[in-house]
Formats: sequence, structure tokens, C-alpha cells
Amino acid sequence: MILKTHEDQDLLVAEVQLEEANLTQSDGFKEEMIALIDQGNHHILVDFRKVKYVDSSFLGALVSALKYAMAQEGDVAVVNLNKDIHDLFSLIRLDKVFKIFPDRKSAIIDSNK
Amino acid sequence: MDSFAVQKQFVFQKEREGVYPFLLSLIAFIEENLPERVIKQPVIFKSKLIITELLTNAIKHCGEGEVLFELDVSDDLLLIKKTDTGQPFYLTENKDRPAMAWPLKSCVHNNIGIYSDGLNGLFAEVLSERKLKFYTEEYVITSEGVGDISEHYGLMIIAKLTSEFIYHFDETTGLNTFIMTLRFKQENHNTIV
Repeated sequence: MILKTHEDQDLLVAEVQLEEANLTQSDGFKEEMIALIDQGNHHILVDFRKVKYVDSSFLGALVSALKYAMAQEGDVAVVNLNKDIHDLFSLIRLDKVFKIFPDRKSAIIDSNK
Repeated sequence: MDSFAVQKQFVFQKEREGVYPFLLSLIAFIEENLPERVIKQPVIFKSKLIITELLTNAIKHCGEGEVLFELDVSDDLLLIKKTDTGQPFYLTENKDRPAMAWPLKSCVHNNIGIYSDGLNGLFAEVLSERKLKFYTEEYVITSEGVGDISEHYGLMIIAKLTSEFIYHFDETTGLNTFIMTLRFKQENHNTIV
């Protein structure tokens, strides 16, 4: 399993269990995200705390999951991006489409608004 | 000013499990050989992303042959070159133009769309029948545009990070070459463009 999940105040937190989030894992990540959404988890917080780097394939899978969730009026947000990954989101402007939280606490506060 | 130039070639065997160690070996070479006046962090950040995407591209598209990386560090710039004998760069049909085949005889000096979504566009100037120069555009996002967001970012990432990004295809040898230039900024001698 690529994702380790638990519920935190009605928000499903999915922690990526990888240091290298690249194309060797992107299909599996996408399948697990789609399965979580199909199980009725329409608001998912993906936690990158263990991830050292991501490539474009993994980001593509994340975008695919976001689009799938949005089609069901859901959302995918991200938390605990290291500086390089945060800068990569900004570079390709994914910070315009994903909610990015510095920590889980702020994500939970936002979800309760 | 004394010129400063070191060069090294690396062969990538495309074993997926070896991607990260290979990336780190190239980054270590760059870090060791950057001119002292250049601040390392932004160069290393850009180099990591570029090489990561080149390795992803190699695994996806480069077929059975080996992939050669060449790094050149001079006083003014870092050059990253990747050469392979896989399929030439795909110019499949998109919303702006029909499919195109190499050599690109009919559109030299024209600009062509590679792909675009509601956030970014990737384009190329056709420098010759066998050579493209990539560039990007950014768009104001609309709520309708979110559903249209691309899931393909590899070349976009490279084009946004480099001072110049060239692709060359030689049909006589079957060689594909990507050449990326990161120019070190001259004004204050301590960063890169």
C-alpha cells in the first residue's frame, strides 16, 4: 500500500508511505486514491511528510485524483510539502488548484469552516 | 576572467530502482564543480527537477538502448545534455494543429503548440527541420479551467526552469538530443536566471 489512511474529524488523511514519489509508484497511487474516493471519501488530505521528491508522473496522478474527486463535488488537498516540492507546485502553478496546508491542524480547521 | 569548464558523461541503464542514486550522482558532480561565486541552492533545486524529469522521460520513451547524460559546468552556465536512440519526440495532433512528422520541412521558423491547459501552455519554435526550442506561457485561471488541468508536466517543468531548452533529432543516426542551459546571472554574480 502506498497510502496509510486514518480519519481525523471527518477528514480522511492519506499519508504517502514513500520517500521517492515517482513514475514507478504513480499508477498505484492513482488507483488507491480513486478507490478511496469510490468508497465515499470525497474530501482527502494527502500528507507528503515522508516524501523527499516527486516527479511529473506522480503529480499527474495527483491531478487525476483531484479531477475525479471534483467530478463528485469533492476535493483533494495536500499537507507537509518540503520546500522543493512546494516550489515545484508553485512552478507549474498547481498551487492555484490545490489547497496547500503547512500542517494537519490548519487543514482540519479549514475543513470545519 | 578565467574560463572554468568541466565535463563528465554518465550512462543511465534505465533500471527503475536506480533512478534516485543516479540522480544524486549527477547532482553531486554539479555541486562539486559550480564556480564559487554561484549560490548553489537554486542551481541544485533546478538541476534536481530537470534531471528527475529527464530520467522519467528516459524510462517512458527511450526504448532498449542506453541513455547518455553529459554535464558541462563553465564559468557562466550549466549545460545538461541527454542523448538516446528511442522514438523521436512525438508531435501528435492537438487542438491547435495536425500531427507532424520529422523532419519538419513545412514549418521552419514557425511556432507550434505542444500542449496547453487552463494554467500553462508549452510551445516550440521550429529552429530548423530537425530542431525545436521550447518555451512556455501562463494563463489566468478560471473556475471552468480547473477541470481541464493537464496531467502531463515533464517538458513544462524543464522549459520553465531553463534559460534555453532545445530538442534535436537526427534521422541518419536515430539520435534524440535534449540540450538544457542554465545560465548563471551576471549582474550580481551570485544567482541564476
